[in-house]
Amino acid sequence: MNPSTVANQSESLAHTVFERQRLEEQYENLDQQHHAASLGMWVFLATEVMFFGALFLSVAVYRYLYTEAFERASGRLNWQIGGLNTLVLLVSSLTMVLAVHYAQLGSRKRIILFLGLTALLGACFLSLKGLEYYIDYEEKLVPGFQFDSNEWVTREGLRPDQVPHVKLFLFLYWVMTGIHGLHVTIGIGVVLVMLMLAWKGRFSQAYYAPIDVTALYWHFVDIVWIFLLPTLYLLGTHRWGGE
Amino acid sequence: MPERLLTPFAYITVLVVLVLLTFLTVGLSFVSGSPMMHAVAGQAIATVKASLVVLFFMHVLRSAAQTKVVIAVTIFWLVAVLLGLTLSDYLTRGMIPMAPGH
Repeated sequence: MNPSTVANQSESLAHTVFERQRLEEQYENLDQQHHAASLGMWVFLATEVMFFGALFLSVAVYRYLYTEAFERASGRLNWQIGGLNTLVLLVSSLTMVLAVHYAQLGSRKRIILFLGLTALLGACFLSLKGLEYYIDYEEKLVPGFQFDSNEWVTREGLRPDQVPHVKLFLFLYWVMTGIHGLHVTIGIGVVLVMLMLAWKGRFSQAYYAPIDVTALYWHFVDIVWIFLLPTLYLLGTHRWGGE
Repeated sequence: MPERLLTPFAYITVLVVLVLLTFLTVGLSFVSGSPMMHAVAGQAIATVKASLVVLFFMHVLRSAAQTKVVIAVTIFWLVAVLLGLTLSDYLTRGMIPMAPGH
């Protein structure tokens, strides 16, 4: 038996009985297991980047080709709610990272507190998004369902052949914010599962990888919104007090 | 893993910077400028914000080399291949006089 194996074994023996129960048999110790879980999440996030990347690329290309229609359509979106929601998600990222921080310190009560706050802010985001969708509906910004082609010609001064470009922008808006909202919904679910496990005392200072990996996903969803804000809402057509 | 620990104060500082950058990017959208200026400014600020989240909130500053390789490869495929190659086509089509298709 070589010295490193002995060292690894004594390290895994250093874990408490509770922690050894959490250690899957293919790993030497909880650190290695944590590292594998984290790397796996990063690889999953890489596929998510490709998935959202294609949508962002579509907006970039069509915004370049149909600049005027995209700017007019973007100007009708509710940047106030979009901006406020950015702040909500940024703060939720702080509460999420604090949950990880207190998991590292092994403070069960604070893990529960900050996971709860994270889920609450996530729900707050979805509520504001729902309100925004309702306003979009009232403003007739739902192509194929609640949309007035004439309005874009008479009120916004676009040519009739530019109206399909407006619809294209709005389709991208609904798909991208909708899929992002789905990610937030899944994130809230996973955070609540972590909260339940923390409540049951399933984590310790050496074993908190599930919270850490959940946090990576949550931060990723925040990053997607960070890019959605300028990509959809801020195309430079807002004027103070104007439409 | 105690070597990963940052203080709550450090996290709050990062959040304050992120919030200020959000106000900056919203403010810039009210400034008149070319569509390209707005696109570049918006995406540049978003990239800075995303980097802060990745480095500090996702602990990449202190994460293992393998994680950094995954991130580097992801950025390469996204920026160089997906965005870079596609946009180098669309954004340069107008530069060729008399070319068909535009």
